[in-house]
Amino acid sequence: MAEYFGIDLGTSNCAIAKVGDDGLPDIVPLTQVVTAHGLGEKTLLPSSVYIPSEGEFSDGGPQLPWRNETGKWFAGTFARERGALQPDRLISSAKSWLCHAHADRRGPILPWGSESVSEKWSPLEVSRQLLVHLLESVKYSSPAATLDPAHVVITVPASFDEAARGLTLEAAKLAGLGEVTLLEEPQAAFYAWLESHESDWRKQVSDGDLILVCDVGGGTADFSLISVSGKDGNLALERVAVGEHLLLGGDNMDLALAHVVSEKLGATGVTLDAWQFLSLIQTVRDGKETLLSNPNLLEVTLAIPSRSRKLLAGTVSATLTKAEVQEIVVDGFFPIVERTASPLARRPGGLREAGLPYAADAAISKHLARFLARAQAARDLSSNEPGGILLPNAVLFNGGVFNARALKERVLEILSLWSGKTARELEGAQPDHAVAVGAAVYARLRQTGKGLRIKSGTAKAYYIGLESSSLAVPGRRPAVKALCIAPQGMEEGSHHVIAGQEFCLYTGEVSEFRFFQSDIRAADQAGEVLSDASTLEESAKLEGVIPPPAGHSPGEEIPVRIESRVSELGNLEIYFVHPPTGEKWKLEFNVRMQ
Amino acid sequence: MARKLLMGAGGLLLILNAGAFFCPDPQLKAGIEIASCVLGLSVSVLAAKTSEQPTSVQQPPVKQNVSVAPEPVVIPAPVPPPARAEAEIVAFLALLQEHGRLVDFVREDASTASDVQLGAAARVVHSGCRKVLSDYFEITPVHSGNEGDTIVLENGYDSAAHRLLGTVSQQPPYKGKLLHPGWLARSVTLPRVTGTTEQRPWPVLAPAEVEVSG
Repeated sequence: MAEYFGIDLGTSNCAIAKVGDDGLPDIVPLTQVVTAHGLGEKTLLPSSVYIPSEGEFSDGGPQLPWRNETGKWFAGTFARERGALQPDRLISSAKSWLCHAHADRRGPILPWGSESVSEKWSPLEVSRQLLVHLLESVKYSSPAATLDPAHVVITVPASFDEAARGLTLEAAKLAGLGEVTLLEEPQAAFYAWLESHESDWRKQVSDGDLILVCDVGGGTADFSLISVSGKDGNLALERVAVGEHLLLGGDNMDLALAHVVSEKLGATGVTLDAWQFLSLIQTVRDGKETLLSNPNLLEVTLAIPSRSRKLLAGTVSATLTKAEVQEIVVDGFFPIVERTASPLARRPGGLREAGLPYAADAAISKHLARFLARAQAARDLSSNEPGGILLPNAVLFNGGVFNARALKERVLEILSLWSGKTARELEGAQPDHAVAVGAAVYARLRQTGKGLRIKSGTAKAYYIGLESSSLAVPGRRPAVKALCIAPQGMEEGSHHVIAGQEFCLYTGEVSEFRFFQSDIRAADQAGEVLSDASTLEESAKLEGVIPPPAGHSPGEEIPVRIESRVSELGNLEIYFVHPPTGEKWKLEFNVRMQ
Repeated sequence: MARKLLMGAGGLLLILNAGAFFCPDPQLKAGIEIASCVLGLSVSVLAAKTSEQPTSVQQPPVKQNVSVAPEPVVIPAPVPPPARAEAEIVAFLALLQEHGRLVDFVREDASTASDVQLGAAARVVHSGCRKVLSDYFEITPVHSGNEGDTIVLENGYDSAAHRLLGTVSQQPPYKGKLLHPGWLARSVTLPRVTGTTEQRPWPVLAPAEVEVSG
């Protein structure tokens, strides 16, 4: 019997699910170092890497069954726990670096800002090692398992750009997984929901529904819209919009609450040290979930131990009230705002410390409003008949944040307010492992063709920078034009030849290629040239030397045709073709960035 | 997978399934011959018990196979020396200390502490130990009924999972009031101890912590 694997390579945690030709998906237990002296299995592998100091593990420390080198680094539960005490030696959220366009994603930059570790890692290497760990763990728990690359799906945030997708595929290849397929996380969550409601999902959705997949995890928020059309059980699903990459999630909420509690204690003369604050964040998270899930509870008492062994004398008591959680988490992160609200684009400071581009505005509902407004703008551009307001009437929640019922209710309340109609929740989602489960189900669907597939094209339109041919003016670089090479909504397996136009390509010399993207220009067709690329979002830049084709010498300009293709694996490939010789160069998006 | 279900007694006693020996076959990770051990909430009781009886936890003798045909000689692959039961127990206690500060709590003098202090500390112990139990054990009641229910134990009832109080006749059935529904550890997935040596046969219970300033 064939086995299909879905890998959730998450920002905070990884998980794997597997499923057979039929039957229900299983979560694969993941062997990992769980304490300084023990190995164990957990269903989640924290996406953390801890790099110990020299001599910290004189005997090599706990050893994974498949690794011979020991004590150099750890991944998983122990890494996260030990790393919390030595933040300079902890790599976390590497995935957010993977899609950070201004970071050198192949360069050794992590742990970011650390001066303690002797050897740093690249974001790509972190992804590779996490995938190796997952792969070895599967082999260890079931030695007979064969991971046929055609049966493996890895999920990425819907907001991942082409460069980050390419890097994820490359990490999979380097990890020995081969040519795997990518799937957007919100779609995976939706596939998991379809699978778990196989018999009755058609009762919950119907023609004309627009479903928001609202995924708010520990550190990221990701939105997608899925439309439902058709009749009588013959429904078609299409992913019609994806949001931007938002570094905003449950961790922000816990941190905000911890500050509130800490300030309250400060007012009574109790000052918490850094380690107490660390344990306060954890305590506050539990307290928040309790308060948000139990409407009858007005406050919870928190106990914050010191690191001293004097637990009785050193434990500080604090309270967290329902009103505080309501004000900070519900009203702070999910304020009731107008449909036209827009989040702060950036903090007012002129100079920002380098690092991850965290969302400047904590109000998730404002980001949601912006996402829906942009989705509507894109839809209006691409369709001839003006549609009504684009607002979802059903929501599939995913991510740990929505373990709190009050937050789900608030999102539904806001959507109902915007549309004037009641928005409902798609019941029975399982937030912890839905993404891995959905990926496994999708892997099976791809191979067997059995099941309903969500139609989805590229979420954005892609452009390549084109130097305009204009008269030279001293001191002015000519404006860069943008050539659309892949329109929004381009589907898997489809390709475009930008016909009738040829472009000049410099060979044998270092040339710079710039890439741009947009998620609001759905009307642009492949081959269209925009006069000013600066209106678009620049996604990647690469420098490379194209070797001259036979019969041409370096430095020569050659005429080329441009072709683009979305592979079966879901990534965008771009080719330069030299018609006289038929020579073809593939442009890799995932090249060294500045 | 060899796993005995161990029964919980009532009250404060927590009976755990102390998985003891590292299985030579790495695939049977959790397949460990079980030696059961009672761990009270009092750590000192446990410490005394294990130190008094250092050889109480042993691998059971291997049954001799009475087979007619001679078995082919199999050269066993080198296996790590079996971790001792004590190592597993100390490692478990270390987990309760790490997350629930149990050793700190029990070792501190409670006689001079106020109930407020004791209560605050108990919250730390409660939430941490609760997390450890939920992470590594699947615990369910022996009986699905409520305390105070009248129940009948028929002939052949699971006597290891029930403790009878009061006047007990020679034969079941027994009719009585359920005082405590009991606890069953349905599964145990404790970490497997690594890195023990002759010099350090079990892990450090809680490492000394040093805040580095230079």
